[in-house]
Amino acid sequence: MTKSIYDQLNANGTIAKQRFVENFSGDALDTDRWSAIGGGNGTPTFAMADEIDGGFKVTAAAQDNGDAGLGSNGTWDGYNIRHFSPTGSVYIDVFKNNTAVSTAKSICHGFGEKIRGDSGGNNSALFRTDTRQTVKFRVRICSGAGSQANDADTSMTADLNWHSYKIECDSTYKFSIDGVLEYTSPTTNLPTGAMAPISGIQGSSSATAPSYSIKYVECYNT
Amino acid sequence: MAFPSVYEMTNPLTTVRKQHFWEYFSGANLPYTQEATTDTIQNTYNDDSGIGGATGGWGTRFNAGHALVGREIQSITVSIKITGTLNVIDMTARIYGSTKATLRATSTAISSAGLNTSYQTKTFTFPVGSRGTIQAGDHIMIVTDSLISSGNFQCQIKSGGGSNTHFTTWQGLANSFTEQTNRELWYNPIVSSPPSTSIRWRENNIAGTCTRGMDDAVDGGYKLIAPATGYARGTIDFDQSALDVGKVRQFNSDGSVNVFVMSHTKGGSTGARVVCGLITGTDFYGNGTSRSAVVTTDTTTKYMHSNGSAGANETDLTITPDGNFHSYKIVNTGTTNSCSVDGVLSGNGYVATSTNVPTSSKMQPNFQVYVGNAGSAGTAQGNIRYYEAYNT
Repeated sequence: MTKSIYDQLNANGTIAKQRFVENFSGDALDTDRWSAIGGGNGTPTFAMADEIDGGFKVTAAAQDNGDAGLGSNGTWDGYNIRHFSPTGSVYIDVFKNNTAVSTAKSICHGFGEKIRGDSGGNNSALFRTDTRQTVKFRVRICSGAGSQANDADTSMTADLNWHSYKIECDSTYKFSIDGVLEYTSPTTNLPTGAMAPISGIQGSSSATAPSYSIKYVECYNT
Repeated sequence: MAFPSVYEMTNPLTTVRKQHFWEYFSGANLPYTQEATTDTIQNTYNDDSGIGGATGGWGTRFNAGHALVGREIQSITVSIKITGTLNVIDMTARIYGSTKATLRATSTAISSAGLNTSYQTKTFTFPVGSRGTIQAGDHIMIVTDSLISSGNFQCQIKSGGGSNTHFTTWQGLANSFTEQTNRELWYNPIVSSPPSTSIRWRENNIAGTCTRGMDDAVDGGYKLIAPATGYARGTIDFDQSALDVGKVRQFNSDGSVNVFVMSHTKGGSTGARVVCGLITGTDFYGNGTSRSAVVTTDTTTKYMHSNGSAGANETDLTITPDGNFHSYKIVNTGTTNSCSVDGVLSGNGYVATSTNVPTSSKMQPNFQVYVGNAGSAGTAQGNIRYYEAYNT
């Protein structure tokens, strides 16, 4: 018997909520779904990788604050199309840093209300690396008012391998890497506004152009 | 049991998911880029022209140097009126080459019913997937295939030719265009953009011009028809531009799975082949290099496999194509590959082979319809309604 995708993802009688799935396969990024843009500092590049398991690659200019990112807003400072709840949603991706932590002030991915390379602003929940802090994979939550009180290391030293990342947004926020829970937030200083999948870079003064690759994103409301 | 996520339908979160792609081939078209548009206007007039008592129409030619050369036309708005008692006809805008022999695109039709005896604007739209890009010497013509038995349909023009453009008439479809270099058509505007390209899949004609698009049929998926010209063939694949340039090959010859549902329509060329699978190049019958695919001919179904520049083996699956859709699954390991039809795991419809299978290669999806060397005997049609590839 043929089963629907709906039935495999929703219990009988459950009304499906918003869900987004992106495989980053094919000859080009679907720019009807994604904005691939820079913030005006340097010239970023965006490309499907001609590599086994290569996904999509985002590279910022090798300069201080060189920026680039993916989201759903047409301009760097605009708001994304925000379908995902700050109090009941999940973000999953498969992501890797391609360059050392030292090459970028920030490489981030997760939920956000705007594309940001610097992991700042309001209403976001992000995995990130930061050359100014540690060489760990880190988490950051930006509250509705911009507080970054929930900002911590994970146990994992940042590397250049693919990992699966999951952020569960509820009354607390849970961050997992490769299926292992790494961080649970308190119930305070959390996002209050809707969010969307984003990723981005803010470069450092490194001579190496910082880049990341992403080959899967899934978001859904719970 | 309901899975919480698509990810966890196919992988536990403790496993880092590898490249995984699927396509349902539903909707109006394959996804296309949407480029910013530009309006090009010629809105002066001091005369009019038209046709009557014939088929044909009128329009405009664009020569090298005109701003519209190299741009994809989305619509043209012209000023039309009728004189006398015009019988009801359908008109379309068409993009022709330098002569009527080359038709690049046809707009949706507009009926003459409702036209009146004073000028009014009518916009002819070229839908996504049915657009053409203007080349030097091309024409955009407003044309009727129906004989105008009474009355005329007319357009506004100005005297004096434009810069690299002029008015053209076509009195009778059996005749050639008449170039009127001392006149220019009124249009306001012609909407154009840089040429759109399909996203995700590239639609490629390797030899001849294929007909392609979503099939307006229950469970029809995407159809690809190669013309009745020897060796004509076309594909969809992940290349980004011209043949052998900009390939995106993310699937592993040494560990991947291919699942697809396709059909091979019988009754056209007896040499026709419909092929689907993974390939390092872009053409199963040309620069294929490494291949792992199913090929259906008029009489057999085979597993096509090759490694590097060696010629391809075709191992018979002992299934006679019947014109219906079937599911196919290929498991690539780099050592022993298997291929099955409709879930069969032994006997007819299943092969496993370690001979000349691709190894150490990155590969891309490809669906190809090839009319064969007996192409003049008829066209070849293949349909695909599901494609999935993932690394293991």
